[in-house]
Amino acid sequence: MSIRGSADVAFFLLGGYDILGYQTEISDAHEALLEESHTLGDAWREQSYVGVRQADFSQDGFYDDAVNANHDALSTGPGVSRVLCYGPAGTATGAPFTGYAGAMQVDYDRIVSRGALHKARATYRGSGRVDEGKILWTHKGTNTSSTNSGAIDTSVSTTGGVGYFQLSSFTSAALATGVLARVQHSSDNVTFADLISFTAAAAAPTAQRIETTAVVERWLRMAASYQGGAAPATAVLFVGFARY
Amino acid sequence: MSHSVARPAVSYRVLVGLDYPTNPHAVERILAGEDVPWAERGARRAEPGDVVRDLPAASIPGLLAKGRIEEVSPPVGDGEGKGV
Repeated sequence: MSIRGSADVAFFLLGGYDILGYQTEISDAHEALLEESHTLGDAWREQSYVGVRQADFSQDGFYDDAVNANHDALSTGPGVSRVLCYGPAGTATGAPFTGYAGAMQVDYDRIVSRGALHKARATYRGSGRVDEGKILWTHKGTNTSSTNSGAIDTSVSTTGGVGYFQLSSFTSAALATGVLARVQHSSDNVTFADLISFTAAAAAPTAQRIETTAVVERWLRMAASYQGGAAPATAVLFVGFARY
Repeated sequence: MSHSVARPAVSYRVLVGLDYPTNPHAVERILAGEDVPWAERGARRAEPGDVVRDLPAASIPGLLAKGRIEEVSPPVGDGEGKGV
């Protein structure tokens, strides 16, 4: 572990929207729900964990009404649950990321002040799991007929895991019909088997999250291929995986 | 410790999508712990249902044990396999 700063934030993706470049602060708070469990005769309060956790997320930044910018991402969001991913510690393959299965947007505030740039703010309640995973393909472009990430070496998981996929941009070429990303695993770092296949996507922004109960082998990587046509279709995507 | 990288004599039906190297020298280097670039691996993709004969020998026991491939009997001819 290392001390990190704002320059280390690798990406902030909401339902495929790439909105890191508009933010000045994000907050990711996790809380255990407790119940007071002291009884008659106790001199001090006691707390017991009821087995439920809650996550709250907020973002503050600049208002921007360009296509697919902050305003596009947030203005239709209140009441909508989307897959949210951010990477606080760099872009390296294997670096940590956090993924919300569902970030239910509570509100969207536009702040317009005299003598200041317009600001945009939104808050979310976690709806479902929040996963701490590893980056397999940091948010960046690919433009070849197939692309593989390097493999990361971790421990075997017998309780499955979850894959995250976010596509922030897709530019079709002749006959290309989409980009198909997979999470693959291997016990020997030689032959990789499909673990999770995301649905081929041909329009951005979009995001997917797929769980698996399969045994997850030691090595993991991302493989992406273009469907239906020849390169160079181009895509900007993120793939990560969290073991359970 | 030495690893077997010889080409298998039998054919296998792929049950789960696989990506694997077909360059035996690359396999040796990977098994020795080297990070071999993908361009040097002779990487190949096999979809479920494909019958192949060029799987890395070192991977076959594990793939069989985990139900990711099954042996085809009798072995298919050269024309059906994805020979190296």
